[in-house]
Amino acid sequence: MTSLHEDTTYILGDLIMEGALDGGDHPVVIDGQFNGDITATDVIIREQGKVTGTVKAKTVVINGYFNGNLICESLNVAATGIVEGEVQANALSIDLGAEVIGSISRANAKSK
Amino acid sequence: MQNSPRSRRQMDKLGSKTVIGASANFTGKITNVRVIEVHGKVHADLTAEKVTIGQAGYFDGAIRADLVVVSGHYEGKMQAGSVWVTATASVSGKLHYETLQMDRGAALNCHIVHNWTVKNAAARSANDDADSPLPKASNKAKAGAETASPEEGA
Amino acid sequence: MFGKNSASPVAPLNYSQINEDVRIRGTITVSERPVVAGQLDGNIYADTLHIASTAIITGEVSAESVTIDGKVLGSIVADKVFLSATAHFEGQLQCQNVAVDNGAYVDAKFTKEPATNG
Repeated sequence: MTSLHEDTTYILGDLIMEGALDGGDHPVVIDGQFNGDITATDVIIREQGKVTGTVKAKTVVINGYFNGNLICESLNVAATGIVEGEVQANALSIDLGAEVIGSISRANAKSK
Repeated sequence: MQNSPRSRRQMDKLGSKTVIGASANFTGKITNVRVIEVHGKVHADLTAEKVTIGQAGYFDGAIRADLVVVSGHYEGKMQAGSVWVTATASVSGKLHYETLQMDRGAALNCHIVHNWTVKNAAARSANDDADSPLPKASNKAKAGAETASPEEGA
Repeated sequence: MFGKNSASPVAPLNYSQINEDVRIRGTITVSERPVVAGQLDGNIYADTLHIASTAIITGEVSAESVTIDGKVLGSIVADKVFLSATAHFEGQLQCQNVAVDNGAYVDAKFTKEPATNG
C-alpha cells in the first residue's frame, strides 16, 4: 500500500457526507456518517461510522453501522457491527456479538 | 484481512482530518467539516476551518473556510480568510480572501476580492449580481454617491 | 443402571448421535446434546445441537445453541448460532447471536428472535 494518507479516502468522525462516492483504486475508511452510494475496492466502516445507502466493493469490513444494500466479494462484520438490509457477498464472516438483520445471499460473479 | 498489525498501524495514522483520496470522486454534500484534504475530485459545497486541495485534487463547488491551501484545481466561489495558492494551483471562479499568498506559477483565472467580510459581502452581493468589475470602487462609489448626489443635484 | 462399569469413574457420554449413514424422515426432539452427522428431512428440536460436516438437514432446526459444520436447508430458530467454515446454510435464521466463519456458504434471511425464548 502506498502512502495511506494521500490515497485512502478517510471520512472523519464528525463529518456528514451525502451523495455518491467513488473511492477509485484505494480504500474508503469511514468514521463519520455517509448517506448515499459508495463504490470502492475496500470499504471499512469503523466503530463509530454510520453508512446508509448502497455500497459496492470488493472487501467490506463493518465495525459500525450499515443500513442498506451491500454488494461485495468478501464481508466481515465485527463484533461491534450492526448490519441491516440486503447483503450480497461471496465470502462472509460474522464475529460473535454482531447484529445482522436482513438477507444475505451470494453475489453474482461480477463485482462492481 | 483488514486487522493485520501493519494495517492497524496505518489505520492509527488516520483520524486527524478528512481525506478524499487520490483516485476518489465525490459528488454531493459535505457538512460538519473542520479539516479536509482533497486529493481526488470533489463536486460539493462546504464550510470548514481548513481546506487543502492537493496537487492532484480537483474541487468544484463553493468553499467557505478560514484557511485554504490550493495546490490543484479549484473552480467555484471561495470565501476564505487566509488563502495560499501554490505554484501548481489553478483557480477559476471567484476568490474572496482576507490574506492571500500566491506562489509563482499559480494560475489564477478568477474574480478576486480582497477584504471581503460578511457585511461587505451583503453590500456587494447586489453589485455582484450586476457583475461590476471593481467592488471596492463601487463601494466607494456608493459612499461617494451619497456625497455626490447633492453635488450632482446642485 | 445399564452399565456394569462400576470401575469407571467417568459418567457415560450424555449425547445422542445420528451417524453419517443414517437418513431420517420425521421430527426429532431431544433434550440432550445431539450430534447429527446424517441426513434429516424434517425438524429437530434440541437444547445444544451440533450439526456435523456430513449432515444434511432439510427442515427446521430449533435449539438454544447450534453449531453447524454441515448443510442446513430450511430455517433455524435459536439463541446462539455458529456457522463454521464448512457450513452451508440456505433459508431463514432467527437468532440472538450469530457467528459465521470465513468460508461458510450463506444464503439466508437473518432476523433477531424475540427475547422470549422457551
